[in-house]
Amino acid sequence: MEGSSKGGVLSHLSLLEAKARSRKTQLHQIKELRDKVEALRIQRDQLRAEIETHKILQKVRASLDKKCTKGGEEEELQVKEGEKMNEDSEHSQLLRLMARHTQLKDLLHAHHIIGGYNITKTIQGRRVCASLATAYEGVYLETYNVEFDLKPTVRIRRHDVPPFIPVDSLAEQSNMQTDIRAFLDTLSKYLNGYAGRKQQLKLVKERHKSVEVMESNVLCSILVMLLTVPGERVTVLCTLKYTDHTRCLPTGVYVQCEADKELPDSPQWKNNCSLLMETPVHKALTIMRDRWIIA
Amino acid sequence: MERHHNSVTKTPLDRVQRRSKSKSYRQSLRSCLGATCLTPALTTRRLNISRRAPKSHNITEKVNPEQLALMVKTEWQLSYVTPLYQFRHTQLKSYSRQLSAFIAAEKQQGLAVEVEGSHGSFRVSFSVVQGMSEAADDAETVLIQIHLKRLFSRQDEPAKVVWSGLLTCINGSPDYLRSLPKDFTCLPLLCSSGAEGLTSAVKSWFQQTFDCYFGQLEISHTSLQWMIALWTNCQTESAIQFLKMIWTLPVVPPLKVTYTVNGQDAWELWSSVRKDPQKEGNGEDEDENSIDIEEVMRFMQGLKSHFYRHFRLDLSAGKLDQVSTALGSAKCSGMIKISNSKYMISTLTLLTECALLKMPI
Amino acid sequence: MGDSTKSLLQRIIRRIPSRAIESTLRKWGRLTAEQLQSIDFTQPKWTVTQELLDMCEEGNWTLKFITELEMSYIIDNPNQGMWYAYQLMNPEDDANSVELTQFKEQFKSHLKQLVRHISLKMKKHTDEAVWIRIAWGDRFFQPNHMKPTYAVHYLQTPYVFVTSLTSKHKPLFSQAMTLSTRYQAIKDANLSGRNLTAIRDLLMRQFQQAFPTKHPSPLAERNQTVSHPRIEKEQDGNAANRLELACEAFGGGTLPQLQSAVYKLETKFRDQTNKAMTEREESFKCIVKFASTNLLESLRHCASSGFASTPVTPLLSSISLKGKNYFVITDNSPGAASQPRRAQDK
Repeated sequence: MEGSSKGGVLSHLSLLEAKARSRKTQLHQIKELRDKVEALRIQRDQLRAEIETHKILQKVRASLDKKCTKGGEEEELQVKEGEKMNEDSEHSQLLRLMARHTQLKDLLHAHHIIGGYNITKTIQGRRVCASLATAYEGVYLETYNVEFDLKPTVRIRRHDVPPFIPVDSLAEQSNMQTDIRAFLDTLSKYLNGYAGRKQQLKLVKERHKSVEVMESNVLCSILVMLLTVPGERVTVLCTLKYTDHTRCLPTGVYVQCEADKELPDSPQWKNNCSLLMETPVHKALTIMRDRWIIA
Repeated sequence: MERHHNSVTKTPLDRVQRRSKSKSYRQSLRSCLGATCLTPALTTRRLNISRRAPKSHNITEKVNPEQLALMVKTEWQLSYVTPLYQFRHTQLKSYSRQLSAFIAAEKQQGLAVEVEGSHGSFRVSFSVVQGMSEAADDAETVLIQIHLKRLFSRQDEPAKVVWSGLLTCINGSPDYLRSLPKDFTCLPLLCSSGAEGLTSAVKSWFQQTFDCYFGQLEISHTSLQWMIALWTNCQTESAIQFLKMIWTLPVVPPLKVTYTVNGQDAWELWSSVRKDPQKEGNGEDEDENSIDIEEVMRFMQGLKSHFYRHFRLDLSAGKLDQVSTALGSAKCSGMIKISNSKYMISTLTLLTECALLKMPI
Repeated sequence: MGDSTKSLLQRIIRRIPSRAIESTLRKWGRLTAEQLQSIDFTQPKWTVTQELLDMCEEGNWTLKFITELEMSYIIDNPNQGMWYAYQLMNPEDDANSVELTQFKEQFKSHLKQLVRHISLKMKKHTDEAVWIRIAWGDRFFQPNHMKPTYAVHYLQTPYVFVTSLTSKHKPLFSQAMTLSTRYQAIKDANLSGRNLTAIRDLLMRQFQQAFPTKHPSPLAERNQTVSHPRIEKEQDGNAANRLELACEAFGGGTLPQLQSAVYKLETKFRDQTNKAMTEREESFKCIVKFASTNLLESLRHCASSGFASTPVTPLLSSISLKGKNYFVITDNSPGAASQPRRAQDK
């Protein structure tokens, strides 16, 4: 039939057209893939070069570390080893510097991790910011910052230390112009003392629900607790005073009992008082609870 | 921006030439479009680049003291009005009756007229404020007041004024005024004070009766700056005491900056930016008293730079919202208060000009 | 006595918004469960007020009860009215060890010595704040409970926050305060605002300040959003820099809500282009007031978006830095002429 033969030719033509088109796209795809392969090869070569440099860097770093730790004993040996590396001498200077840089960075990071002061210089050395970390019983607590202007004189510009810690009077007392370190050390003691006491109070409230905290203050320098003696239904008012604000232990423990006036003088409670003087309050209370002294 | 020649200002020679050129242009335009054309084309109008310093006009003798007291103590909301068709100053009594009836009808229809104790009858009074206009072409100022007499008040208890309006044209451009056809009265500035419902009722009545159109007149940034300069310039005659400017900065949340300068210090800064008066030429008084826009700009720049020196914050980034001195206050939303009657005429002149600029025809 | 009690109760209930009445009464704890149940809080306020007045009549509520209710409401909703901060100066040696009971007793006794008729209430809040309510009377008149003064003090800090203290009573209050806290003097801290929490946070350094640090906080490291690698915004570096400086000047995160800051400038006019004014001897007197619903937020946005040049001038950064919002600026600082003037403490 005419239609079918025409259809045959036309369909054949359209088939050929489609084939030609697909070949074009195929060629296009092949070109794309080739480009990709090229790019990947370049990337692989780059990575290989980086790995090589990194390996050499590690070697240099290792030798530097050894130098630092072992002092000058085996220095001669190391020097000889180092001489071997002088083959590509143009790079060795640079590599040594890079290794030293990574060493210093790691040192700073270690310093940061162990809680030392982080000092950051800003504005071309005219200003310095010190971060003081506080910790208690192995747990990191708040970090406080103090920013100093270095020129014309060393002066505190701003800080985020709460006002009950007398930063300004501490600054006046220590000679900041020559020894910032002393000031920071003292401030750190006060801050750590405060953080420690605050943490103790928090733990007391969490772990000892039977103990009622009657009075405390923002500085955590006073703690008045109401303890219950089990069985006898007697309440004891226990006051802890922390007059030394750099310490986490109290400087004075006072016990009062309304029902039984003799109780504070009993040997048991005298023991408890000395326990409270020597042990952090939350631990002391736990001990007392375990010994059935308090509920 | 539209530009407008002010033929009142005397200017050096070259400006005179420009003026006459545009005048002839306008005349030819008019003749082209025929006598029915109302006004010159917009493009020929120019904003004032130079103004006369405000003279203090002692109008207390000329104007009815009651009316003057009202004008001075009220803070007015400004609108512009297109020329009124067949408005007769002789028919004011009839207008009063018509408007009272109109408002009563509106109230019945339930139009919200939020006046306290609006249970009562409204009485409108139209009156002419004599002694305000200086120029021959200006129409007389009309004062409209709406009184409310409460339902259960005593006979002798005076009705309280709950709405006031002032229709005025002070020193309007003579070219424009003369170009209006015979039956039109130009009172381009409406100052209103009172409940919004009453304001819209009055406006509707005017629109119906005189075939006019009302639009909100905002005081532009440039006009506010002119006011700052013009008021500060009055320091020697009447102490401005302080110059207070309020800017708004477009931050989140918006920051409002109120910058108040001691009056005397503001005046000293202003006099330091004035150009030396030119002794040459005709030696007319108006030359010494003319203020250029450049001087105004320098003054503003001085104020802003003092601010910038301290706060490193550029006030140009914000919008100037309000200006006030002891002589009066102006807000960009179109509120004006003229506290000293001596400068009533000059301030109204500036505002009339702003209103004329906004005319759609 | 009953009438004044009732009118005080009425006034207090009027002040409390309708939605807060039930919770405030519950917290007050003086109404029994049945009484609370019997009131229908969905009724209009004046009905509820009437019911409470009846209960007051029946229960014979004393002034003490009612003032307790007021204090409890104010402590929970302190951000209304105008609060002023004061600073105690020159502590004695034992200022640091002042205890609560000692402070309370001393304050009461000092104030009672100074004023014949006074009604005093002191309460310690859970955040260690000591709240003081004073209704002032004098030799002839009983304490006026309609206009009480409220004061907040944290022991061992030098700050006191006060609202509704008239100038007549200010010296009496100051004296009692300094004596009982063992300081020598008290002065205006030049900080005021509607929000007690805001001015307290500012002075107690309880807001987030931004310090330059090499080690960004863990949260910041995690939250670094990486936009499309191929798109590099030209202004990114500048914008980041401005944001950093803005945060350093005013604080990071949520800022304490101050409403205004006022600067009284009495400095000379200096402008290169204006000789006449520059040579002038007298100062150019002006007053600048910044106002916003959250002033520090607005200023920080000004700095970070470039309206204000960075680094931020010490005049503006002193608001957060020194915890003040009233400054008098004169030409006295020995700095270079081109630098902006330093803030002087009034």
